[in-house]
Amino acid sequence: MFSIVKSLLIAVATSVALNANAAEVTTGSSAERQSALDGTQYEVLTPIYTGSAGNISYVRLFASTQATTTFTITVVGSPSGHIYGTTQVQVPGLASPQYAVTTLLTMANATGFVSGDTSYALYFQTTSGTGAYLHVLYNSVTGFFENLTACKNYLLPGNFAYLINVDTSAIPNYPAQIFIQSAAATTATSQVAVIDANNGSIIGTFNMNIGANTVLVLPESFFEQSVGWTPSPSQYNVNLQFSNGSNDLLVGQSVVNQQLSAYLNITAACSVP
Amino acid sequence: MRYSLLGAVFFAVLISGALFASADDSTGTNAPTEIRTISEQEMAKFLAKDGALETVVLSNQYAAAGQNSRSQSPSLERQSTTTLTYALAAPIYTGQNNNDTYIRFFNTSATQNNNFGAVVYGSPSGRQYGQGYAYSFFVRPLASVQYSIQDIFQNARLTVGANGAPTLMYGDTSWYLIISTSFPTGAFQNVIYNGSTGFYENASLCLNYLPNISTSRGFLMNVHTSALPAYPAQIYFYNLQNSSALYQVTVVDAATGNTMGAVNITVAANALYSVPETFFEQSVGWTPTSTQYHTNLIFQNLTQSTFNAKVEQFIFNQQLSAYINMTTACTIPSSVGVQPTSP
Repeated sequence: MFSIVKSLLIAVATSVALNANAAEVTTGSSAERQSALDGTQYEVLTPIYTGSAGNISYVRLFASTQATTTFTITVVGSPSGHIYGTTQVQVPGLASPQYAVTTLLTMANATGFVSGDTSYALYFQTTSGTGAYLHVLYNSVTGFFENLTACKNYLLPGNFAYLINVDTSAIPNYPAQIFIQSAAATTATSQVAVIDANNGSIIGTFNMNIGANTVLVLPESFFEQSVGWTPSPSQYNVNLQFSNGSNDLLVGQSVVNQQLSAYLNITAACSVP
Repeated sequence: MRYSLLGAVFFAVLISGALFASADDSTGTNAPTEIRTISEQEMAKFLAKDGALETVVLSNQYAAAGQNSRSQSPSLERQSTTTLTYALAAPIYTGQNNNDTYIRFFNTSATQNNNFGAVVYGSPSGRQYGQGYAYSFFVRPLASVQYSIQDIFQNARLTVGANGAPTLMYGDTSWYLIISTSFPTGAFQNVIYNGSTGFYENASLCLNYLPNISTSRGFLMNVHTSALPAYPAQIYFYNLQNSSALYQVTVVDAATGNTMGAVNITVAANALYSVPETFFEQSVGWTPTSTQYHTNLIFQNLTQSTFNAKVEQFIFNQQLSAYINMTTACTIPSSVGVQPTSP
């Protein structure tokens, strides 16, 4: 129990520390004004958890091309529509650093409710339309970990299908399982890139044959071994990129919570306009 | 523990099945005669607070034990590798570590019946197991009916062993389902339930997602009612508009598609509301029976023609003090035309 909690806490703490190196962060101004936003032009993250009963939201920002993606995050209060502030985060290509939501709130100068607000919402945009995010929840008391992502627009397979922030063997208490399904009538070959989630560097690539109409269930360690890689103790997450020229691939990931004998679906990620 | 909880789930399935078997397919939903309007001021008490979730006292309504009956029937296997234009449900759990899969078929049409098909395949061979019986799951408008994986195996005339699954052959190591519908109004959820721990999770993996895909309406399917107090559902509703808006929420019995009522809600610009499912029960004056476990909630923007909102549903697992995101549901591409009929 405690080892699991400790592992996750270390992962979170380290991830935040790494974030400072991996992604350039600009702290925004606190130009507070009453000005509701047209949310249809954003991907909006709600609800968020800031520590109640040990639950804290973590946001994983993903740059879905090899170019750096700049995320603009605006913190809006509810119910007032008050804009608390805006911050920007630059994420290296193919990386997906993780931030505690409390960190993002501080960066945007949202340090306390005003105007009778009772909650915050995060409004995401990118300058390039190449961003996505995951919203995960971690309970530091129980060790429970879950994907809370719910999207207006999901990160869907295109020329590439992605799984982001897949747990590596550096987090042995929460082993990840990967699902790959091909809708093709014949064997398909997909080039798989294994990418360090913190900095976007490609660790290795290999070609994978996927049989017609086949569903493969593979541990994350399969991908480590396929590219001859052993993660360091602090390389907690990888991003997996699958070439998908014929758009026939469906990929998913679950984490096995061994304490509960439970499978958690960590697949969903939102596409950011 | 495993069997008592499974019994409750199977009981729910049986009830759903009975309703589905006796349903009059000639009718659509019942339009509510009077729709209550809830003002922005009234909604203010439901404004979401960071990390806040209503807690409900645990009760054990799963006392009545039940057993899953697993039929013995012949299987028919054949090689079938085609380019799939249907939705896929995977992974499938058939008792591994006490986890079992349940599939929920949702008909998003308010007027038209729909039939769903679930064909069983093995992986990695890509071979079909059993008989397809395409479109054999009949679902009324706005209803969503839940089936266990064993129900689906049996529907395919597959012999289910003591381990909860047919025998895998051809070197196969896992199952998957190909889901299809007669009309492009279908969606499904793939949920898993652990009978030992009570853990419950949404395992849906989608090529296309349901909840907010419609330009005019938002859907939340199989939301737990107060008939499942150990797993209370919390609904989050976020108004994306920079102006206040009036939304109509239609409350539907998931098993039958019958409309329980509708309520109009005035929401502030960019405001997030967090309400328990019971809010909607009370708003339409509905008390679910002890077997009405699920409701479907349909949201429509009455102020603009586009939806412009985001809806989510979480379940609070009180045993684990854990929030489970139950929002995801997959849309199913249409396939041509088998006219839906009542069984």
